[in-house]
Amino acid sequence: MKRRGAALALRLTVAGLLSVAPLCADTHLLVVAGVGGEEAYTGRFHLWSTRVADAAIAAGLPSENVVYLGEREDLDPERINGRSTGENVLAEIAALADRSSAGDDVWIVLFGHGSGAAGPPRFNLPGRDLVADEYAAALEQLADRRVVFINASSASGGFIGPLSREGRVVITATKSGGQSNESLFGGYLAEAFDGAAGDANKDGRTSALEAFAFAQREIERYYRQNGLLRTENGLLDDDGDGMGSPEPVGVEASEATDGRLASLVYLGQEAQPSTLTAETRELADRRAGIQRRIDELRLQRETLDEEVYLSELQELMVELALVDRELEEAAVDDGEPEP
Amino acid sequence: MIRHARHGAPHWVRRRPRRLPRRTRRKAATLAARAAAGALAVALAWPAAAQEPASLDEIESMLRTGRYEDVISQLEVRSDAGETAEPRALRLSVEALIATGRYDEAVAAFEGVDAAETGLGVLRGRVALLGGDREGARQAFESARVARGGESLVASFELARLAWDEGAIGGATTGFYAMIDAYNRGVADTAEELVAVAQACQLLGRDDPELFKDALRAYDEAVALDPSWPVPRIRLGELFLEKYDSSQARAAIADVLRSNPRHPEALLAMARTMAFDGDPRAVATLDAALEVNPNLIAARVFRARLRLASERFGEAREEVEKAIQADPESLTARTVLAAVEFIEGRDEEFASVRDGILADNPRYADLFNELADASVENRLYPQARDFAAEAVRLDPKSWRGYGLLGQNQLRLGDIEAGKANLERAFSGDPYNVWIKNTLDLVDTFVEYRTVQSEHFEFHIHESEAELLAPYMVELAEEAWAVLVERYRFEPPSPVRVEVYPSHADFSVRTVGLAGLGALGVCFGPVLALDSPSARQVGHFNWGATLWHELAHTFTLLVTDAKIPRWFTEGLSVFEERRARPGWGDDVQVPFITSLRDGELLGIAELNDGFMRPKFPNQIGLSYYQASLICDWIEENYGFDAILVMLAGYREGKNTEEVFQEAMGLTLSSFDERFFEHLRERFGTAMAALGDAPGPGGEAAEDEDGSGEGGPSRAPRRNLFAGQTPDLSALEEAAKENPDDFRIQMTYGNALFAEERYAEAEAPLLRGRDLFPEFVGPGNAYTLLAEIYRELERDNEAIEALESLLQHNETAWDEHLALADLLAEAGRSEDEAAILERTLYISPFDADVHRRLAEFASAEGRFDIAVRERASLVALDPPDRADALYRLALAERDAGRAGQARRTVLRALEVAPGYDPAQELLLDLVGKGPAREGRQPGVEGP
Repeated sequence: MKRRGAALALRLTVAGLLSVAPLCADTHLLVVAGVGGEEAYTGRFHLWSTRVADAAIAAGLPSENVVYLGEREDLDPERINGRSTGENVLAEIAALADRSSAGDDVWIVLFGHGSGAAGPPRFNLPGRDLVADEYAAALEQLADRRVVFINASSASGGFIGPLSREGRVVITATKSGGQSNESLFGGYLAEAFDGAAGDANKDGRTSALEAFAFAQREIERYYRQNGLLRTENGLLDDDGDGMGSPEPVGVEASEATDGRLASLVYLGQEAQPSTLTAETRELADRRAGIQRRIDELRLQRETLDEEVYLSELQELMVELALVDRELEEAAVDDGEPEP
Repeated sequence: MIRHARHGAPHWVRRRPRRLPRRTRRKAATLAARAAAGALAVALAWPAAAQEPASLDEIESMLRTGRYEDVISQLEVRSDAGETAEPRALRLSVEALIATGRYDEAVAAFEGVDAAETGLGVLRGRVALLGGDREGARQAFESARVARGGESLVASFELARLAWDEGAIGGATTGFYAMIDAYNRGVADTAEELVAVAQACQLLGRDDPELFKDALRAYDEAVALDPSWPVPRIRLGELFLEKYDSSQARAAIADVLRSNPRHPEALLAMARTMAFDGDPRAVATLDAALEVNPNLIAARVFRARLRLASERFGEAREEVEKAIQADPESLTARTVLAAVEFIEGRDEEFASVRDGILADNPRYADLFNELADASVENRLYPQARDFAAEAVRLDPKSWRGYGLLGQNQLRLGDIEAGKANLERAFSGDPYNVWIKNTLDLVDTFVEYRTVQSEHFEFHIHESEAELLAPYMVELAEEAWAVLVERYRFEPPSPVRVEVYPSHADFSVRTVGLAGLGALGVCFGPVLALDSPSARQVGHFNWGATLWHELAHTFTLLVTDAKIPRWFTEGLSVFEERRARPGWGDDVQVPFITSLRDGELLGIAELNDGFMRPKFPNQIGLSYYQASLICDWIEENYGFDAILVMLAGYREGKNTEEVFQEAMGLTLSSFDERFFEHLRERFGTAMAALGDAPGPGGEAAEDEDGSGEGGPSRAPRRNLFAGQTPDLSALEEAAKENPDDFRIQMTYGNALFAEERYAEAEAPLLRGRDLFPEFVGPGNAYTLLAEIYRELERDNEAIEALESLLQHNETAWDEHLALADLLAEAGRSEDEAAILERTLYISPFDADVHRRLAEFASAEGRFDIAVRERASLVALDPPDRADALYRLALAERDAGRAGQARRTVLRALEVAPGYDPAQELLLDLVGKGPAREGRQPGVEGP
C-alpha cells in the first residue's frame, strides 16, 4: 500500500484534466451554521460545519479559501471566522465575489433550521433570517462562477425554485417547505465529504452528486431501519429548471437532466497539471480516451446484448487498468512524495 | 368508498327537487315528538307494573326501546279493560310478538281482522312469511296492494320480493323498477315506503351498481323521516356489510342498539359485523338476539354458519334444523344444511337438499356462493372455486359468484383467470371493497420478481428479491426435504410463495381487507406471508412463519383439507419447534393461568379458540396448546400415530373416531390425560403464578389478535415494571414469598432498574427457576445476561442468553448480544450460528452479513461467503464498488471465476479507477498482479 498515495495523487491530477472545469480554477467554501435554538442543535450544526470545512482543507483547499460563520464564535474561535448573522452572510458572499474569479467553484453550505410552510422559505440565523430570494439576489454577484448551494436545513425544499439557474447546483434536505421536522440530511452530507464514505466511484474525490446520493441513501436507510416515517426527502437541481430531482443521474444522463453538473464539481482543489511529465500526459490522454469509450458503451447498455456488452466492457476495463498501472509505475519512478 | 357515494347525485333524474311534502314533515315531527315523550316517560315515571293502562304512545315508546314483554302485557291490560282493539294497538302487539318470536300468536292476533283495510296487510303478510306460509303471505300482500289501507306501494314491493325469492327475476325486476318510478313521482312518502324503494334499489344493483348509491340515499331519507324507527338503519348497516365496509355498518347498527339494545335484528346485524371484524363478542351478541327471539331464523342460520366454520358440524346441523323447523321453505336455512352435508361428505344427502332448493328457485346462485364460502372456511379452496363457477353459470349476474371464483382462483395460484373474474365482479359491483382491494393488489404483481427453485416459485417484491430470495429458497427447500420425509408425502410442486413488503398488501391478499393480525397464510399450493420488511424488527421471525405455512401445505394436502383447524395449526407449530431452537416455543403467562383456571379448551372445542375466540389472546394460546397436543401424541404414541390421524381425517372420519383409531382414547379421556400432563409439566409455574389474573386480565392487553396463519409474536409489555417500586417492601415480600414468580421478578426488575446488579441476581435466578419458559419482556435471562456482562462474568452471560434463545425466536437485541459475547470469547463458530439465526428475524443488517462473510471466508466456506457478500450488495451499500469487489473476491474463492469477472466489472462500472478491482480483473483475465503489494484479495476491515 505504500505506493497507493503517490498513484492516487497522480490520478487526481489526471482526473482533473478530464473535468469540464477550467484548468487552474480555484474552489472556495462558505459554511454557515444557523441558529440552533437548543444546545444540542447548536453543537450538532457546529460539528457538521467543521467536518465539511476540515474535509475541504484536507482535499486541498487553501485554508484562506474556507470561511465558516457560526452561531457562537466562542465554540471554536480559531475556526469560526464570524457570527452567522444575515448581514455577515451577505457580506461574505460579496467578499467571495471579490476573492474568486470567473470559472472558479464556489460552495455555500448551510446547516441549521429552516421554515417555509407559511411565508417565504427562510434559513434561521441569529437575528434576522434571510429568505431564499435574498440568497438568490446575493448569488447574482457570482454569476460567472460554478456555484454549489446546499441548504441542509429542515423545510429547505422551497429554496430550489428561487435559486435554480443554469450552471448552478442547488441541494436541499427536503422536498418542500412543509417538511419541517428535524433533518438529519446535513449529518450524512458532512459524512460524505469527510473521508472516503461518499466517494462512490473511488476516484479519491467526492463530487456534489456523490455526496447528495450518499446522504439520500443513508437517510432512507435510517428511517427504514428504525421503522420511522420518512420526513425528509432531499432534492438536487442543476439543470436550471427549478424542479429538483430526488434521484439525479449524473454524467450518464442527457444534459437536460439533473445530476450532470453535480457529478463534475468536487469539494477540493486539483493538483496543478504542470507537474505532469510528457509520459504521464500521454498516459492521461490515453486514459481519457478509454474513459470516454467506457462512457459511450455504458450509454448503449440497454440496446446491447448482455454478453456483448460485458465483453466490450471487460476489454476497456482491462485497458484502463493497464494504463492506470503504468501511471502508478510512472509516479513511483518519478519519486512522488507520499501524502 | 360507498360512504363517498352517498354525497353523489343519484343516476336517475328527478323531475322535481326532493322535498318532504308538508304532510309528511309534520308526521315526522309528530312521530319524533311522540317517541321523545315516550322515552321520557319510560325514563322518569314508568312503573314496573302499571296500575293504569298505558297510552298507545307510551306503548310505542316501549316497543322502540325493547320492552317487548311490557308492550304485550300493557296491551292485554287495555284489552281486559274493555278498550276496543284499534289498528295501532294491533300493530304494536304484533310487532312485539314478532320481536320475541311468538309467530303463532302474531298470526292468531289477526283473526277476525280485515288487515288490508286497516292498513295492516303488509304486516299480516310478513307474519305469514315468518311462519313459512308463502301462499298466505302472497294473499295478504295482494290484498294490501289493492285495498285502501295506504299500503299499496310497500305491498307491491313485498310481492316483487316474493317473486325474486322464487327465481322469477324478470317479474321481480319490473316490480322493483316500479318502486323507483313511485319515488320519482313523489309518492313514496313514508319511511316504510322509502325503505321499500331502498331495498328495490339494492336488489337491482346487480344490474346497475349505481343503484347502490340510490339505495343509500333512500335509506338516509327514511332515517331522516322517522329517526326512531330502527329498520332503515339496520338495512343500511346490512348493505354496508354486504360491501365489506364494516365500520359504516357498525356505526349504523350501533345507532339502533343505543335506543333499543334488545332489537333482535339489530343484534343479529351487529353479530354479523363483529364476526366479520373478528370481534370475539360476536357470539355473545348473536346469543342475545336469540334470547330475545329464539325463532329468528336468520340468527339460527347465522349461528349454524359459525358452527360450521368452527368445524362443529353436529351443532351446525342441530341449529339449522331448528331454523328449518320454523320455516321449512327457508332457502337460506336449507342452503346451510346443504353446506353441512357437503362438508361432512354426505354426498347423497347433499344432492337431495341442493336439488330441492333449485326446484324452488332454479336461479338461486347464492346456494353455490354460500357453499363456496363454507368451503373456504373449511380450507377447501378447489371446491370453493368449483361452487363459485356453478353460481355464475346459474346466474351470469352473480357478481358475488365472480368475486368468489376470482378469489379462489388466486388462492390456487391461477392468477390470470382470477384477475379476469375479479374484474368481471368489479364491473358489476364496483362498491365491493374486497374486490377492489384485491384487484389493486393484483395490479402490483408486475413489481414482483419470480424466483424458481426445485419445489417453489417465489414472488418477491423487486426491491428486496435479490436479498431475500437466497435465504427463502434455502430454507424452503430444507423444510420441503424434512417434511416430505416426515409425512411420507410429496405435495404437487411448485408451491407458490408470495412475500409482501407491506402488511396491508398481505392482509388484502388473505382477507381482502387491511388489518389482519396474522403473519402468513396457506391456501394449500399457495402461501403468502409478510416480508421481514413489513414489520418492525423483533416482532416477527419470517423463517419460522415460512416453515409453519409450508407445514400446512403438507397437512392440508395429505388430508384433502379434511384436517381440523386445531390439528393443522398444532402440527405447524410443532414443526416449527423441530426446525430451529426457539421457534414456536413461546409460553405465555396467560397460557399457564388458563391451565390453572381450567380455561384451556378441550379437544372438542379447540377449534373455537381459533375461529371464535372469547378473548383476543385465545388464538395464540390455542396455537400453543394444539402444538403441545401434537408433542404429547408423538411422545406417547410416536409420530406414526399422527400419520394414522392424518389418514383417518383424509378418509372422512371425525375426531372421535380418529382418536380412537390412533390412540384408543375417547376425547374426554384424551383431555383428562393431556391436561394432567400439562399440569405436571407446568406445575411449578402454575404454583408460582399464584393468583395472577387470567387471560381476561393482562393477556387482553397483548397485541396479538391474529386469525389465520400463525400467531403474531410481537413483544408484549413488561409485566414487572411500570410502577415506582418500594424496594424495601419488595425485598420483604420477596423474602416472604420465595415461590412467587411475580414477586421475585418484580423485585429483580426493580433492583436491575436501580443498577444494583449483584443484588438483582438472586431474585432473578429464583424467578427463572420458577418459570423457566418465561421469555417475555422483563424476563430473567435478558436481565441476568446484562448483569453478568456488567460484572464481567461473560460465560454466565452467554449461558443466560443461550437459555433465552431456546424459547424465543424474535429477540433481535439478545441474538446480537450473544453473538458479540461469543465473538469476544473466540467462539466464532457459535457466533456464526447465532448470526445465521438473526437472518430469519431481519436480513437487513449489513453488519451481520459482513461478520458472516468474514467468518465464512476465514473458514473456507466460500459458498456462504458468496451468499453473504451478495446480500451486502443487495442492501445497496454506500460503498457499492467495494461491496461488489468483495463479492467478486468471494466468487473467485468459491471457484466461480466467470461470475467473479462479471461482478468485478459491475464494481468497475461504478468506480472505473478502483485499483483493487482493477487488479482483480487483471488477475481474472490472466494479466496477473504486476507489482508487489497490489495482489487482489487482501481483505481489509
